Amino acid sequence: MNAAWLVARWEYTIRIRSKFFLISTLLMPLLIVGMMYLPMLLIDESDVRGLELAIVDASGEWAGQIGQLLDERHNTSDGIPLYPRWILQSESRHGQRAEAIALLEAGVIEAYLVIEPEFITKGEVSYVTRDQGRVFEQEQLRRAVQSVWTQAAFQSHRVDPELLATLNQDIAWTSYASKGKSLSAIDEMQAFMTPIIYVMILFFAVFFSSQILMRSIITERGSRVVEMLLSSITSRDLMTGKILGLGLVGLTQIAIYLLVASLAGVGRGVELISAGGAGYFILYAILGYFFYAAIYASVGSLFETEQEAQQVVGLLSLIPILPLVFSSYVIIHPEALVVRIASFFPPLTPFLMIIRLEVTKVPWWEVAGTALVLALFTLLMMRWAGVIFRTAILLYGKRITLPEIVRWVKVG
Amino acid sequence: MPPSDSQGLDISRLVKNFNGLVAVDDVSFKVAPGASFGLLGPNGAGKTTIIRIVMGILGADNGEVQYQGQPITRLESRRFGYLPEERGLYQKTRLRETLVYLARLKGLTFSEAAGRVDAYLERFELQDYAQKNIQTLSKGNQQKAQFIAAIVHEPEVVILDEPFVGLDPVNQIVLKEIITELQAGGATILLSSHQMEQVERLCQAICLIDRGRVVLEGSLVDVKGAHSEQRVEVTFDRSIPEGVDRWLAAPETRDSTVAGELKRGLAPTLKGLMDLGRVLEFKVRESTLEEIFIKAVKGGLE
Repeated sequence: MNAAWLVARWEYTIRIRSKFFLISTLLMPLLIVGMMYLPMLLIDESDVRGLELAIVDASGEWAGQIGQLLDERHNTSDGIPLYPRWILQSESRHGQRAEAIALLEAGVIEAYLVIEPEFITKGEVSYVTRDQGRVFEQEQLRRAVQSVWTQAAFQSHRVDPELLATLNQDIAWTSYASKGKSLSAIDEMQAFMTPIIYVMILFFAVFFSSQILMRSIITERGSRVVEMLLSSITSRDLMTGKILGLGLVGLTQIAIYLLVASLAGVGRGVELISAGGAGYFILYAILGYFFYAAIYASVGSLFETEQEAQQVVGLLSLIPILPLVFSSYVIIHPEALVVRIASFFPPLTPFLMIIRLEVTKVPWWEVAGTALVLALFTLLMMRWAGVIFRTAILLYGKRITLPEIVRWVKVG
Repeated sequence: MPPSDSQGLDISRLVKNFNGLVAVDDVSFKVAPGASFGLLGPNGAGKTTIIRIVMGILGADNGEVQYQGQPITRLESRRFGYLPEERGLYQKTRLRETLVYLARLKGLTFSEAAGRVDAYLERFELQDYAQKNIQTLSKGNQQKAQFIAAIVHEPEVVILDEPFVGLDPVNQIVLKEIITELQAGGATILLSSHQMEQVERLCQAICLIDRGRVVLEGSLVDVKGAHSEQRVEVTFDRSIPEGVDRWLAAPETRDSTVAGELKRGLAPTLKGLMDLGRVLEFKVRESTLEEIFIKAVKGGLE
């Protein structure tokens, strides 16, 4: 059997059964599922408990209408209103407020609304609460007050009540994505989540594998196993085998992640991972992995301890974090000039292109061009990594300088 | 260099520099097929660099290594076994699977590798550790495991860089037995060591390196014949009489015993010393390899 393949198989086997792989592989799907379901849980209004409320309203007119609307809209399954209320109506506005504050402090009520005197003309309302976290309740109250105000405003202009009922309805809005000749309905969640999930999977898989690659080289170098290995196989076979083996570890992770993301999407009733999208994803993931693996392999062969290497790697990792940070911008502006130009910068290409391909129709020449540039730079990096690995791997106890590395690369 | 007619290992005019520092300077020696050859030298003499060049791990700046008359242009991993001076094995993998992997890198099939690894584990009494993580093994056992990795593929040439370092006396004996066995089986042994006694017992030929250059080279018999000095140790019945320096060079005295190198032949010296006083004991011994080594390194050999 080919020596590089033997090394690849060994690396794959020992990594795939390690606890570290198991934990990190489980962690990412948890994140994906969390991202899918956590916002949903937060948005779930069935969790709204309602509020004990006081409404300060000098006229008493608005408080009654608001209360009625709240009772119509928000009840428990047993028909108990979610917003039981005290209506504070008296001549002294100051007195009403003081009373509301006293009720709030005594814990009788949880919040109060103050309908300001110019409510009908300016729509001014104040909301006072002890618990700022009850945002959904606040939103339900705001909507009820808004409806009452709109209705009053229309009525003062003698608008037909039927027309008013029609205007109060939401329009039936459906979004479609045009991909070639076919149209597919857009789920806002899917449109935003899929590219972010792709970028996270890519980031995680590429850097997990590259970090292990680097650590594996440092360990073999530090423990001197490398000398034994190099007495059996060439440095080229060793490096190729390691990169391939750990690349397969990364691919295994990606397959697990994509599967989990697909199943999570099915659970939500959306097609999160499409076959076409996954195809492009795998292309850029493979090229991206080889590009970064070459860099990490070079760094690994230069240092004897992980701590020393981490300083360099920490700096390198900042580059691919950029697309993660700006992923929202890229999703909204996939055709922006800066995004299109940055897509040709090899360290960013995989991350930017998988976002863009998911949210827009990227011209074929950009796909081919970015893939080609990335492939060429990956080949170059692999070549340089081979030279650095071969030269540095047995140089113990010596601090290697950048000019030296440049000289090796030039000679190699 | 034209193909040599040697069937063994032929190291010719090797030169290696590291950033302007000469580590190996025009080193040549030959290791006959089936011989046990000792590469000697103090720390930093260049032994490990020479061995790494022979193994193809490092490239030479100049010179060549030939085996069986052909240049070793690429790694002939199956024909060579190597125990590096810098010991190390994977720590978090199981012993047996690691040795099988290393054996497979030497070109063995899985079943060949597994069979031989099992046999050697038993030979070195490591079979109970076969499924254990290597990090749980003692340092000595890890060293034995590494030795197994070096010879498991039954190579024609076995290169051992300081093989006895770190082994207890019992395992040193086991190792010596196996080296002797390997040689009896026809393997060529290149042994680097600073433990002269071991080299003297195991090797038929030596090469002494100092500061990257060959200081001495040849069969053990020839080297000792050419550079050994006969030393005598004489014990008188009372004090040491006057005039022993006429017969012995650089005499060292202790109580009634004097030791030194012969200035003349053995018989006239004995007779001369007996004329000086009553001799109780007269011992003759040759210089050890260690003494020759020290003298050579200090520049005392001509």
